[in-house]
Amino acid sequence: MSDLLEVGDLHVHHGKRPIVDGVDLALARGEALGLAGESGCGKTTTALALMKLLPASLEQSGRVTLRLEGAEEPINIEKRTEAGMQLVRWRHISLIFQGAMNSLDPVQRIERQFAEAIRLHEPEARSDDVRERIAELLRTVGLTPGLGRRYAHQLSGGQRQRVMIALALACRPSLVIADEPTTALDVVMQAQVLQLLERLREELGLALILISHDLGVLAETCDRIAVMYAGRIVESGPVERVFATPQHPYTKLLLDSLPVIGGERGLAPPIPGGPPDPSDPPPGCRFNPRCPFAAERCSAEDPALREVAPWQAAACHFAPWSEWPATTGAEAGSAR
Amino acid sequence: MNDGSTRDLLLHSWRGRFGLSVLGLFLFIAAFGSLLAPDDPDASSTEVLAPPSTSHLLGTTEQGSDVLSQLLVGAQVSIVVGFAAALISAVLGSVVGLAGGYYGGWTDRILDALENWFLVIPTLPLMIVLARLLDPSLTVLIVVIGLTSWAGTGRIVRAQVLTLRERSFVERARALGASDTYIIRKHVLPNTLPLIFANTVLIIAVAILSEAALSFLGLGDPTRISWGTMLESAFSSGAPSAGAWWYVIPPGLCISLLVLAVTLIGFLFEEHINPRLREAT
Repeated sequence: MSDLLEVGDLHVHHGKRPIVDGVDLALARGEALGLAGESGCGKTTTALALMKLLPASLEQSGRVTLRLEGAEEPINIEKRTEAGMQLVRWRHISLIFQGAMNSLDPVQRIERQFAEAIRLHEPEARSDDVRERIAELLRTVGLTPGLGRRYAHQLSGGQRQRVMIALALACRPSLVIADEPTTALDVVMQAQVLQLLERLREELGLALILISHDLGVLAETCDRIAVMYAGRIVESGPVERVFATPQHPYTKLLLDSLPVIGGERGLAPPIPGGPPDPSDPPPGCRFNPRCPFAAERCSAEDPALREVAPWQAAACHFAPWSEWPATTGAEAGSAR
Repeated sequence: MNDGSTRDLLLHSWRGRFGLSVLGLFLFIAAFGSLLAPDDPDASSTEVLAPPSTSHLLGTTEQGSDVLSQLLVGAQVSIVVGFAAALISAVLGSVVGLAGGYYGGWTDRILDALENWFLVIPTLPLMIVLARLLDPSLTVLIVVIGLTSWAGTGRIVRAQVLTLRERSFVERARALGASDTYIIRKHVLPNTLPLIFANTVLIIAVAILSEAALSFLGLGDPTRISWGTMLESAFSSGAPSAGAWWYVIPPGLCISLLVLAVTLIGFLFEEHINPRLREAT
């Protein structure tokens, strides 16, 4: 069966400066893909480009194809006009925004915002049915339907996040994009929200793109993971494989920087330096200035993303790495 | 703004209570003034510029008409012009501010230039010119005042829309598949409404004053009695130098009281939505 979503050579420019620089993605029906990377590497921009929601100052190019179950013709999002996109948004792809606090209209009751989402796509829906659906959506995410009468400021952070998730499901989309859905929540709420997302995915057969800088969050929820760096995907593959045998130094260092419960005490080694400006990348491999394993070739040649192990791709000249040279964050830091 | 706090706001401060009572009184007079008037306000008599007495509580005019009756009937013009002109101004200002702030780009630049133009031009001379060009009538007064007072509202609305546009609930509405006009109607406008409302209340005061000023300059509706036209006749007939204070002070005081009441209410609303102003009190 063909994939639900296919993204080919996606570019996003601000004037002449690239923000996202050639991203390819594929997502099967019901699959959960994690998009990882530091702030500013283009995760959110990529996600917004999938729905053509970028601000007017950003220009996007590249193929985005959505193949709905039962539909004969695929939806070519890159060819859709704004009016055409209005039919696709939320109906087929919905979005859980970063920061649920500001994503709810402060002067409208919660139920009205659900009704809005439903009515925009089903204008002829009967009020009774709409009310029934809102109640069910709220129950699905573990909230009492009475909450619909409230305003956003009367809800707790966790409740608001649940409302946002329920809202994303309002039109029964095939794909939900969750942009840092747990960032503003405490650890307990985080775990609950992640469990909820996973349960909903199983029950409703949703495909999910989960964006997070937190690899722990992605490990728990996703089937596959794509690691972004400076506007590109540098490694992708099944979650277990990427976590067990990372094939890009960036992924390796990210994983090393995770604290391990029960592991050695002390500060997790950070990755030295900061991400480059995607519009002015260093020559050669974009990660080479921060890479502890960089060789001469790395600053001369830009490595392409290629399959280096079954199902696993990495953009590194030296991949596949069978064993990582002994180096620590501290050494890498002093090497700079 | 929820209802409970709006009620508290108006009833739990002396400014709110004073403003509401005075405005309420004048609204009542505007509605029933002609029934309350003891005499026909246009009736002339031989008792010219007579001081207050039991038959004429506030004395008479240079035509021998009853000042109290004119005062009661004149309230209507002030109130009607004030509210109607403020409404025009609110609608114009909101449309221009919403369109400019939301769409940005050239739309904004052109509308912004227009706003600046109206803000910079001295309003009273512009009103005088416009009122002079058109035949004086109540409608002309309302339109002229409305047309010259919207720029401030437009400016404030635009600023608010600029911040709302970037809020993520507006982005979410777009992600829902909503069109621009839908987003403006359902999300941006409702979130700007308190601001428009507070500002419009203040515009009412300006409009009442403008009506009085234009009428005083003889540009009002000659067929209707208003406080402004009363002052005009008083001055042209030499009432102040004749010592006929009863002809000058009542309309002046009424204008001041009404404007004061509306302004106090307007300030209360403005403070409510802009907490930074609260320190001043």
